[in-house]
Amino acid sequence: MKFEELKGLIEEKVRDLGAEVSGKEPNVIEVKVPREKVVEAAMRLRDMGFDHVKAVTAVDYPNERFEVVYVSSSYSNLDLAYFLVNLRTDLPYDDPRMPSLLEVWPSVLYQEHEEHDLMGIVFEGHPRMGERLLLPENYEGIPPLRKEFKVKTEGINA
Amino acid sequence: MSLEERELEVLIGPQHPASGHMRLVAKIDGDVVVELRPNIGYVHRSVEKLAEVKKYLQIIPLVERPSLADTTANNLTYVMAVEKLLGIEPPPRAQYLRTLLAEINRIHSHFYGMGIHGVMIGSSTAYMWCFGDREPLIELAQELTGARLTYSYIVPGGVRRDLPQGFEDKVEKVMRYLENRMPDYFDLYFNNPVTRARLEGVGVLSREDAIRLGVAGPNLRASGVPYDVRKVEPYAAYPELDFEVVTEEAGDAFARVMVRVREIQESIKIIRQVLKKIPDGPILNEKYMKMIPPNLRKQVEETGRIKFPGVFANLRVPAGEAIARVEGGRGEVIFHIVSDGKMSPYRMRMVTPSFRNVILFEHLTRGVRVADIPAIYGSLDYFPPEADR
Amino acid sequence: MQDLLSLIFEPYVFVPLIFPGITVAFLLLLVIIWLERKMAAKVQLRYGPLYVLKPLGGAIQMVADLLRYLFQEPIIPKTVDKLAFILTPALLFGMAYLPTVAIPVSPTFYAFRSDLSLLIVLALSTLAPIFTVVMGWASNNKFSLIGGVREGYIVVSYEIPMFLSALSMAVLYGSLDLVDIAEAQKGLWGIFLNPVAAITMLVLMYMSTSKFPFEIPEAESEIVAGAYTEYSGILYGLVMGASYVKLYVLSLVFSILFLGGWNPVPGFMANDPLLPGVLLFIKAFIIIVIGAFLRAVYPRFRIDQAMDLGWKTLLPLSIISIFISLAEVMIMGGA
Repeated sequence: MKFEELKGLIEEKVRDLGAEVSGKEPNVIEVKVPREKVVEAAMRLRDMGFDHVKAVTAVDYPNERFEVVYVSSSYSNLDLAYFLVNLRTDLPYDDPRMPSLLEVWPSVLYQEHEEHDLMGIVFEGHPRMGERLLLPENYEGIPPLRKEFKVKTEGINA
Repeated sequence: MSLEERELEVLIGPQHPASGHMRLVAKIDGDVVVELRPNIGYVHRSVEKLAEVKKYLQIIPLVERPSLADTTANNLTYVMAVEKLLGIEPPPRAQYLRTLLAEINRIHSHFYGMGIHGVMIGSSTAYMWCFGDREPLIELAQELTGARLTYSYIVPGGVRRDLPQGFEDKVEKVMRYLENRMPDYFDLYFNNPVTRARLEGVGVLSREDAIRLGVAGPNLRASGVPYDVRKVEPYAAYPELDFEVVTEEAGDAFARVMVRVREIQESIKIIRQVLKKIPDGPILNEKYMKMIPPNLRKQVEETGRIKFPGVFANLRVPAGEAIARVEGGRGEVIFHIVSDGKMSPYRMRMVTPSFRNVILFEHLTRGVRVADIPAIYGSLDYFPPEADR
Repeated sequence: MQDLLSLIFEPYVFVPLIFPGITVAFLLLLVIIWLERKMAAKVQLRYGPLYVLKPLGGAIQMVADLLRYLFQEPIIPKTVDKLAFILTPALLFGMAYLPTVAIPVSPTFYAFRSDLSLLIVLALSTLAPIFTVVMGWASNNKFSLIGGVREGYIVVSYEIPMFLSALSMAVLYGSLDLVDIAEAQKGLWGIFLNPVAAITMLVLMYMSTSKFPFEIPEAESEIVAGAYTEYSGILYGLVMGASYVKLYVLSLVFSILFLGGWNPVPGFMANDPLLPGVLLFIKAFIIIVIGAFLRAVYPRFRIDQAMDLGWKTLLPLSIISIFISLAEVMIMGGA
């Protein structure tokens, strides 16, 4: 399948959700949707054959927004496997919550949990919200991957 | 514990001979596992956060450390992501050298996994053999890169060192040794009736579940999904090489081991092709080659060892986003880098195969016997530090 | 002095204290663990024990290990049942060694002669596992508990077929007296008369002493060390030694039942216990070495697989072996 062709196809599928579709040659397709529509968009992508998520990346833009990126691709259709579809959504900085995509893609179980643990994003509907994954059970304070958490060094910036 | 309680909660790890650096919280009813939850994070190194305060070149050793047996995969993925942002391509010879190291690493990573698996089901001989036969490969890698495990061999734009003198002969010797050795493994371990009894039909992962759970690497291919990044999105020298994607249909612990065994044989094939086809030429992109001061450049050309110019350490990467993926020994490694044009990444997401496979602990252990826990654990080639990062 | 020496060579002192009793059992322990490690090392392309007495390949490694065990602090956790925790290792070891008193060394040299010595040995040897179960309970540790329960399950699956295959030989020789049984094999050994019984008994012996592939109650990668998890120091040394001693006792019985005991021994030497004793020991030693060597070959079975093997394969085989014996008795008209 050609890049432009797939991009057109995806655009057609998610246009009514208010999605912006863009692409980065040769194989990355970006789909940006508002957070209310993210579950619906994910379902449509999954039904197209993007059956698993490779990475969930949350990015912190201080006092502006959080961006959550689901890098999805296909195992069952090897024609699609070449392409990566990034499903993106912006979350307001003071209310970083979004619906969990666990129902759509079970493969996000640990990835969403990790972003919750380290970035403080709440995935509504995820069964392990509030539990710690990588941090100690008694950790309190700023989620460490946020920009306002400063790494303490010993003064050696080698 | 009152007598009415049927379920017993057993904490396997982190202080347990076969748990690794993690805890498995198992609820067992008699000899049957009702539920098992992996509790990870004991060896979390915060690679993603540290990357935000380190320079691009300093991150190379950083990303290697979590997955010690399979460092080339992380090294290569990270560098490929950075190269995508920089918009540079390594020269062909460097591509072949990357492939060579990646395949050597794949073989010894598979031996590592099989050895650990062996001792988990009680075969100390499989363990010792695997770790012994890993050694010649580590020595090859050492001769090529100067390090046994943490190679940091692959740098943006190329590789650090050229092939040493007479390396081809040494590689061929090791490959021939491995080929002669494999039948021994089958005689004593893989075809051992006890091994078969312990692994066949244990921890069966169906094709649908493997896809649904986003499993990576040999564990995915053992369930009949022919997904291999080397074929799907070829990188380095793989487009020019002839090899097959190894799959098995059974999806049980034995199939996962067999995928690794057969991948070792494919890797031997690839390494031979690499050494036959490797083109002459520079090993670093000429843009960076030019930055090396002339007198040093002469030394580089003579010795085949790169000394970095100062400007290289303060590498600035243009703003943008890049995702790179590589098929490492344990599976697909993903690096997602968001750059804002400074000397460190704005955000670096590192997803390792072990982190993607950790979900299998929950999925595969429901209703198995207590003794199957290590048999399944080992078959996943799961490495806790790699999952925790 | 003279009296003391002659007292030692009195059978009722010599058998329990020297051979096949505690002294030889102890020396064997030192040798066999070293040999086990050395053989496994050979298969695994490494050296094994080496630095303790290097010219002999580290032969006294176990002496060093024993000293370490002796001087290591035996840690007794607060939550254990103290009396049971401390006593069981000693009782386990004692019970494992006790059956040696009923084993004859030659046709005329034995601590006591009984019409039922085979039964005495077998009955005494079944007592030891009880202490493993007690140990698992007394340790107040989940892994110990699982280990103890596993031992219990294994016991019920090996005990019955092992008795049946041993008793099938008693049927064949028409006697339960070990001396009679050994003497009956002056010509053909029992292993040729009833190979099914021999194989069943051999496998079950390794199963009962937790040799690979039946090293299930102690499975390290599953339950740490099973019932022995909480033990350290000399207490651990005792429990570890107990299974080897048990294997030693059963190997002696196996040699008498199937390998002709002290036969073939020339008639004029038969009254001197030296040669028969050495022959018996060598035979038993070979059986132990085979058991130790299995470590290098096999992984371990799962408990349900081992029980399957015990109940579904070995039990029918042991019943068949009784019929073989009966048939042979019928054909030959009694031994």
